[in-house]
Amino acid sequence: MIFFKTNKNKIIIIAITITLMLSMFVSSIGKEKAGIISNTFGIILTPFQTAADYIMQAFSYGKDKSKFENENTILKQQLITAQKEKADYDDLASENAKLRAMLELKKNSGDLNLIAADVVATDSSSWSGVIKINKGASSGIKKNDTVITEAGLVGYVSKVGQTWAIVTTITDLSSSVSAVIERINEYCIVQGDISLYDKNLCAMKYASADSAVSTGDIVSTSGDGGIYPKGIQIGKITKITVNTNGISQDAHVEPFVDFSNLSAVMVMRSSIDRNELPSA
Amino acid sequence: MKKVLTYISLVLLVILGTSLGRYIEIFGVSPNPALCFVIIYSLTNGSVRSASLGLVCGLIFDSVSNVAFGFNGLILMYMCLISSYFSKRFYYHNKTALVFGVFMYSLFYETLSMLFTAVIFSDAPFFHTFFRFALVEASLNSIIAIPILFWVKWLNNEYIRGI
Repeated sequence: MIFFKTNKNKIIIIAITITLMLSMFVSSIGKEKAGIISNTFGIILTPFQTAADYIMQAFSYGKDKSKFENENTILKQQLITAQKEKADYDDLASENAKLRAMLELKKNSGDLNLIAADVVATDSSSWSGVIKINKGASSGIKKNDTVITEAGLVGYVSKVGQTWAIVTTITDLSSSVSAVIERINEYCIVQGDISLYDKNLCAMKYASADSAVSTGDIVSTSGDGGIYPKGIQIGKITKITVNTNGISQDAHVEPFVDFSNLSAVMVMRSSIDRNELPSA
Repeated sequence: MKKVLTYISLVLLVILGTSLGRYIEIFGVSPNPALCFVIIYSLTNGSVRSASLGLVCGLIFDSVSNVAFGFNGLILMYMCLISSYFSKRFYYHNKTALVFGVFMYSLFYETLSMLFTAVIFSDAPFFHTFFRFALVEASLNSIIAIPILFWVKWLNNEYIRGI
């Protein structure tokens, strides 16, 4: 190969290879923030990706105008109901705070607050459930923060840049969520599965064989594992499959979040120092 | 100027693929226009230009991916080196061969990427992933390669005369 005939080219290619291998090693040991090169690429690309996303959203708004107007009416009604519920909740929260103070209890769930973000890009791989959002460390987002929508669980923040973050969704192959089937209080694991990925489904595993799991059961986060807080709804069971090992049941879970049409998310920022918690 | 235009084209195609691509899915799979662009470019250009474009494209992919940073950069840099090596022998004057080259190199890249991200670390079944995703994406890439081919031709018309 002519390229390798000169020593200069050989040295450059070896240097780049070594640098990239080191970069791969460093990024795989789980740093809290993205590296300089990754961050720079992310910062440069994010505004363009945000702009492109706005253009595409504007096109899809024109196409689905009447659908959005109906949705808007329904949402307004829901907002009024939610405001009433919030007023009740505020009363309960203040009463709760007083009682906690009286009993000198520490809140062990942490103070959670939400950061709204837009989905601006997806991974180039077709089998990857990874998305990019346009908020990052400068907005207070940290690695392992939980990402949700009003419908339910989206995933967790797996990489953080200055103005962007990468979110691993629950449909991604690397995702594994400790969950509970609400109706029967049965613990299980909800995982991404390649054979279900194109149907926007997840796999539920390790529910005990004698548990009365049935289709339509709601699955939510159990709070175990250290990443996801307890009680966030994941989806509902659509199909129960037989596991040949005889000690557990598997099922298909349809997430409440529509991942094929995901444009905005909320990041749950927690005051808990995630580094002190075991990984999920 | 041509180099600048080449890299601007790459960035635009990456944005097209990662931002708008999710709205344009065929059989649940989006084509990868940036990958097509670097393959066609490397099949019609010299090694140094091709390897650097492949490297930059891979690093941009890495910034929107959850894999170890540098993985796509490394794969694409070597893939572009290999494809530019064959360029003068097979693809220099033949559009059909270029489209076939896009299909084969896309399939190679997707299979390698799939092996390292899905099959080895996530126990995904190889054949399902290969037929359901890699093969479909490579086919879609070879279709969108046709307009990209003319764009690359315009970009580097002083290097390739025969296309």
